[in-house]
Amino acid sequence: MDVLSNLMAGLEAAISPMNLLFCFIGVLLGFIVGVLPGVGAPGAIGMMIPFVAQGTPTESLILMAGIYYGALYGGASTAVLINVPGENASIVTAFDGYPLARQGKAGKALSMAALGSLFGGTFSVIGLTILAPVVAEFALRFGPPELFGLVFLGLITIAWLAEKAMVKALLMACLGLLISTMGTDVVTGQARFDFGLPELLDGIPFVIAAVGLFAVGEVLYNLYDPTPQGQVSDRTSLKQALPSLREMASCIPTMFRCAALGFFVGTLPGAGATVSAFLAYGMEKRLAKDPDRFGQGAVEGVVAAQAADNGSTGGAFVPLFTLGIPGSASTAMLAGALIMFGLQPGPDLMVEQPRFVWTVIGSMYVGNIMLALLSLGIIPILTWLMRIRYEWLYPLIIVLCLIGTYALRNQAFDVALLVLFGILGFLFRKGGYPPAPLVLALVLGPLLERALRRTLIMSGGDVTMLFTRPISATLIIIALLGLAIALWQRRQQETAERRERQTAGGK
Amino acid sequence: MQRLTFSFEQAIALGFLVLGGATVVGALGLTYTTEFGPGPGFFPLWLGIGMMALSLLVIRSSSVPSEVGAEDSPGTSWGKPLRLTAGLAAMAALLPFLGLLLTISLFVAWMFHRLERLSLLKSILVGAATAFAVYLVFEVWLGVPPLVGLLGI
Repeated sequence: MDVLSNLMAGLEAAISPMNLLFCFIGVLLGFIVGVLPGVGAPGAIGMMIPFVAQGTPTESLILMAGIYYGALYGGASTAVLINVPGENASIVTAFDGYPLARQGKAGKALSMAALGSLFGGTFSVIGLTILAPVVAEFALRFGPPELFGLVFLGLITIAWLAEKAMVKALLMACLGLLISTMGTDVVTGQARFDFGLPELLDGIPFVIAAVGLFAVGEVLYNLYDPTPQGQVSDRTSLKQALPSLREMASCIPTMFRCAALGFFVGTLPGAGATVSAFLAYGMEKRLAKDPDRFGQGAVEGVVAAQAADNGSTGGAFVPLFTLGIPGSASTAMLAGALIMFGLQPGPDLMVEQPRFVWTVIGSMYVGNIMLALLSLGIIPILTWLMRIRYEWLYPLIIVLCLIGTYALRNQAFDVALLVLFGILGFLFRKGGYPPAPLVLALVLGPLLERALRRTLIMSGGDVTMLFTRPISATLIIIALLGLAIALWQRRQQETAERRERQTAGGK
Repeated sequence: MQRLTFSFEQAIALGFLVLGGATVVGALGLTYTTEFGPGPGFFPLWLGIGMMALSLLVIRSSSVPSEVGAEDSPGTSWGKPLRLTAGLAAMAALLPFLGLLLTISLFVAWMFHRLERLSLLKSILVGAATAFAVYLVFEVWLGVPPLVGLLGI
C-alpha cells in the first residue's frame, strides 16, 4: 500500500501544470532527437543541463527523463520509413518496419511501433514502481561470468536471426567483434589496431557502422536494383493506420514477453535498450510459428523491438535509483544532473527524497501516454514522406546520414568511415551476408571481452569458472543448446530440400 | 545469375579469410598474457582463428549453389551506385578542406544534377537550401560545432 500511496502522490505532482509542461518539452525534444541519427539521447540530455540548472531538480529530471525515453519512440520513425535508425536500438525496429513500409504498410508499422513502445514504457515504469528493490538485488548477482553468459547468449541469437545463413551470420559477428577490439584495450588501456590514427583510439562507434551498413548500403543497393521501389507508396490516414483490435490482441503476448525481457536487461549495467531489442527480436523469432516472416515485414518484429527497448528504460532507472549505478550513457548523464542538484543517487535517494523520486516515476507514466499520442498523431505526416519519389528521397537520406554521423563526434574522419561502411553494406547485401549480426557484435563486443577477461583474471585463468556458477552455466548451456538445435534444424531442412530437388529432377 | 552470386559469396568469404589471417598476425604482435591474466592480444587472436575457420566453411559450403545470396533482377545496373560511391568518397576527401556546409551543398547539387538530371540552376538551389537547413537545425538549434574549411565557412 505504501508503494501505491507514494505512486498516487507522485502522479498527482506529475500532472501539475509546470511538471506537465516540462514533461511535454522533454518528450517532444526526445522524439525529435530520436528522429535525427547521430544526435543521441545522452548528447541531448547533456546539452539541456546548462538550461535546466536554474530550475528545480524535479522539473529538470522530468524533462531529461522525457528526452531519454522520448528518443526511443522517435528513433522508430526513421527506422521504419527510410531504414535509418535514429537511435541505436531502433536498428532492430528497422528489420521488419522497413520491409512493411516497402509493402505500403508504413502507417501500420508506425502505429504498432507506437503501441509496442507505450506498452513497453508503461510496463517498465510499473516494474520500476513495484520490483525495483528485488530486481536490483538480483542484478547485483551478475558478476563477470554471469555477464559473459548473458552476452554470449545474445550473440548466439545471431544464428537464430539468420537461419538460412547461419555460418555467414557468425562470420559477420566475428567481424563485428573484431571491429569492437579496435581502439583502446578495454582492460589494460593499451592501443590496439588503431593503425596510428588518433581518430581510431576511441574505436568505431556503433551508430556509424549501423547507419553505413543499413542506410547508405540500402541506398546503394536500391540504385543498383531499382525494381522494388514501385511498392513504396502509402496513402494512410490515421484511421487506416490504426491496428484492429484483433491485430493488437495477437501482439499482446509478444509485448508482455519483450517488455519483461527489456526491463530485466535494462537493469544490467552496460546492456541497455539495444541489447534488449536484439534479444527480444531473437526470442520472438524463435517462438514464432512461422519465423520466416521475420525480416520480411512481421508486425510482431516491430512490436518486439519497440516493447523491449522502451521496456529497458524503466529498468535502467532501477540501479540508478536503488544502487546509485548508472547502467547506460543516458542514465549516467541523469546521475550527473542529480549530483549537480545536490542529490546523491543510491539507496538513500528513495528514503530521503521520496516525493522527488515518485514524481519523476509518475511523470514517466504521463510521458509515455503523451508520446503514444504524439507518435500516432504524426503518422499521416510521416507516411506522406513515403509518397516522395525515391529520386528525391535518397539524397535526403544520404544527407541525414552524413550530418548525423558528423554530429556524433564532430570529426570529418567519421564521414569517411560512414562511406566505407556504406560500401561494405552494399557488398554484404549483394553477397547475402546479413549485416545485423555485425552490428549486434559491435555493441556486445566490449562487454563480452571485458567479462571474459575479468572472469579469467578472477579464476586465475581457469575457464571452468563459467560453468561452476549457476547463472552463467545456465545461460551458456541455453546458448549452446540453442545453437546446436538451430544447426540441426537447418541441416534437416537442407536435406529435405535436396531430396525435393532430386525428386523433382527425377520426374 | 546464380553463378555470379555464388562467386560473390566466395570472394567475400575469401576477404574474410585474409582479414582473419591479418588479425592473427596483428594479435601475435600484442601481449597475449599479462601477470594479471589475458592481455590485449588474447581476444583478437582467437577471433582471427574463428574468422578463418568460418570463412573456410562458407567457401566450402558455397560450392553448392546457395539460395541465400541475393539474386539479380533484370533491371540491375552498376552505373548509379558506382557514381554515388565515387561522389561519396570525393565528398569525404573534400570535407576537411571545404568545410561541412560548402561540401554538403556541392554534394547535394552534384547528386541532383549528375545522378538525377535536374537542371544545374535547380540543383544549385536545392544544394544551397539543404546546407541552410543543416545550418539551422544542427548548428543554430542543436549547437553542433561546425566543421570550418579553408575558406572559413
